[in-house]
Amino acid sequence: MLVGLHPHSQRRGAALLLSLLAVLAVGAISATLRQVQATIDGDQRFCIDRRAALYVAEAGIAEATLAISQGRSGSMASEEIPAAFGEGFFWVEAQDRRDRSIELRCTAQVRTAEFVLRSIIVPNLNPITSRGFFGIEGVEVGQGTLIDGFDSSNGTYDSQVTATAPHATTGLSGRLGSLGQINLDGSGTAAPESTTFAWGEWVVQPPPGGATESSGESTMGRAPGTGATEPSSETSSTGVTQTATAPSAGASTLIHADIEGFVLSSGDAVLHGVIDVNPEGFIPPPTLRPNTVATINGDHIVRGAEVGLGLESSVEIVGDLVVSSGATLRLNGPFVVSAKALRLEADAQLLLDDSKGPIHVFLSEGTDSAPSSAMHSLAPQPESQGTSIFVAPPAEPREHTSLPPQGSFHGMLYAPGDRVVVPAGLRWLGAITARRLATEPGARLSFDTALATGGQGIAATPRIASWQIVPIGDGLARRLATDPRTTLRLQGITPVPSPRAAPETECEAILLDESGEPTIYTGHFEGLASGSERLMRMRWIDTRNGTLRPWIRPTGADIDGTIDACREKYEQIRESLSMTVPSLYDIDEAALRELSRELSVDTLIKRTVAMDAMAGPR
Amino acid sequence: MEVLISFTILVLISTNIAMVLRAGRAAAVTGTFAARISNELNLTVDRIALALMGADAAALDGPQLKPLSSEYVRFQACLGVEESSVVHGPLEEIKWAPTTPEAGRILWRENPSSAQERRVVWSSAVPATYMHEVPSNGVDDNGNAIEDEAGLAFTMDGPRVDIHVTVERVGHDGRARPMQRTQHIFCRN
Repeated sequence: MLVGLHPHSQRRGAALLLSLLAVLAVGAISATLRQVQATIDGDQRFCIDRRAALYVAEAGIAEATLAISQGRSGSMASEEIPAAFGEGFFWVEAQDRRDRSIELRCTAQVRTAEFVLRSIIVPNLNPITSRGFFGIEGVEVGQGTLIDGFDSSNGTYDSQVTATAPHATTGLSGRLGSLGQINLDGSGTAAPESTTFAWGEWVVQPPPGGATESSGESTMGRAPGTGATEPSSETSSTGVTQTATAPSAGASTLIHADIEGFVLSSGDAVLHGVIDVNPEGFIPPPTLRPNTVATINGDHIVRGAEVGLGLESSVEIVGDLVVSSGATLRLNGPFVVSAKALRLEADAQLLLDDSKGPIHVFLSEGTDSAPSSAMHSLAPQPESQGTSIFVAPPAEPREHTSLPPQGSFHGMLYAPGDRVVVPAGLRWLGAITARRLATEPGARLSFDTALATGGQGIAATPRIASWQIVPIGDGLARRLATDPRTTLRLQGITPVPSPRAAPETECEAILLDESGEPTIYTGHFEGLASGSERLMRMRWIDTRNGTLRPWIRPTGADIDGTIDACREKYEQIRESLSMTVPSLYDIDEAALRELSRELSVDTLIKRTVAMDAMAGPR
Repeated sequence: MEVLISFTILVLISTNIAMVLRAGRAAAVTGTFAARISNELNLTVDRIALALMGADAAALDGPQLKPLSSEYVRFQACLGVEESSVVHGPLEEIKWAPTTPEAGRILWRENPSSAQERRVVWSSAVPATYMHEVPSNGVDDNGNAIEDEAGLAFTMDGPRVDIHVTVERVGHDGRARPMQRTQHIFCRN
């Protein structure tokens, strides 16, 4: 120890001290550089995580959209117990809107980033009925025609009427569209005798006399072109009266509708609505046909009064379905019938009661109606479960499908290969899609907005109406202090798998047994799968408030692989589009619709017919 | 003798430290510089992409079909739906604006050319031409199927919008360091 007590001990260790300072300096520089690098790494990681969170949020919206298509609310998981997707988590809050759309707000968290998307979904938009009155190649509106809208879920049409002159109308917007021209000065050649009306000038009145349905007789609208102000009446054996207020003589054409397409008008027609000159393309959707269990060989001719076609609720007629002169055929839903053609002879009546189930009519050669035949929908509009008439497109354009000139029909007609003329005496409530659509002078067509959603023999899928990034934090995404996986692990929470994130599990369903008697099932949805009954309607119990969600109906049975055929059909159309525009191989549905406008309808219809022929009879 | 040894060690250590510092600084500056450009590029492209994703595809103005391109895009974001009608936000514009003959910046403008105009600079180091492109010769010099594209270029391919961005900054050695990125997006509305 004494050795260390050197007279020059204060100079000892100077090099060591300098070395230490140098090492400290290097260390400080390294720490600074590391900090800078860590900041840069953090920014880059946040960029990556933000992008990943965006995609997880989109996945959450997709899961919620699928849930909506099943009739659920769209809510998924919760902030407390989120759903796991990949390396991230999400939860979706859903809110019903007045216009039946659903607003979704999806929050996604991935490692260091949180992202929020807001989207508005139109549930199960039917690609046919949502177009209202649509003529693929053109529309001709006869002089004095009324086109407007109503919502059968809010009551009958008559209960929603707010104006009576010059037409009785709800004043609500319908839909009218075409990929071709929409001529508002169509077949009515007579010039309007009165000046044009403005909506504000009309007399607004309460619904005339409230509900207009009663038993005893059926009152028809005026005969075509007569301009009679007093409605003619005709007694029906159906026991239901439906009143249609006829327009006043020489009334102007009144269009209360949003229009998609190029409009031709001399200005005589009164138009209230928005015109979009850029309509969406039209791809003929395949129809989903429920299975038929009975076959009638040859024609089936109805003489006298007949209810149904035998005991079965689904019948295939190899020949024509003929309602002979003066005869009446009543079809009660649920009912499926297919035939070559529907022929209504003089004074024949077709009565359709879909109050207990939907009616599907499939025709390969259209309808042929005598001038005095009639067609009536019997169910009160709010209780209607849907009547759909499908006319298969012919290989070559057909002259037209003739509708019965009298009656009142509530439902949809899909005839993509035919020219359809709506008679003035046939009150039409619902929707029509035809190759060319025309109305006789004085015809009255009202689009039922309730038909725009839900499948009626056609696959109906939800549609994204709006997609929006919700800014949070100080930018488009928020930085998270801790990885949510760590947080959940510490809290002992196990996130739910994404496919099982929808909270609704209890449902109420109406089933039909083999005798046709309806039964109500209430319980867990997995209990539905085991029954042999036919599912008519179903609704979920909303876990948020215990209320019941709106009813949903099955679109059709896929017993014969129609959905696979549908997918194949879409794929072929996609391929043909891709060949047309080779660089667009990976195109989404919206793009497909856009591009399909450039293809001729003939090509698409021929392709559809050819593929149907290849698929063989179902 | 001890002082001599100490001095020698000190000189050696100092030299080594100086060498390490010089090399480390160069590497750090180069790395930091590259990361900074990359960050700026990624941030700019992300901002443009996220803005365009929420835009209404039908109301998109600017992007051209290849081989043409545009230096700007005008659009309106979709804010939601009210009574079946889409509610659009104010008109927005993303454009390249020159600051010198060779360089410029990316400007985002809301309500452009109006009294309510708001503007934000999203990148201040965007050259007048895309990477390896010779301007105004009518030829695709860099082989990306676009002719004479600018440092910010928008092209479209059906419903797809392609965003091409070049960011260029001068490094510590005085040389310009460009970095470019292309992103494809689909408008969700």
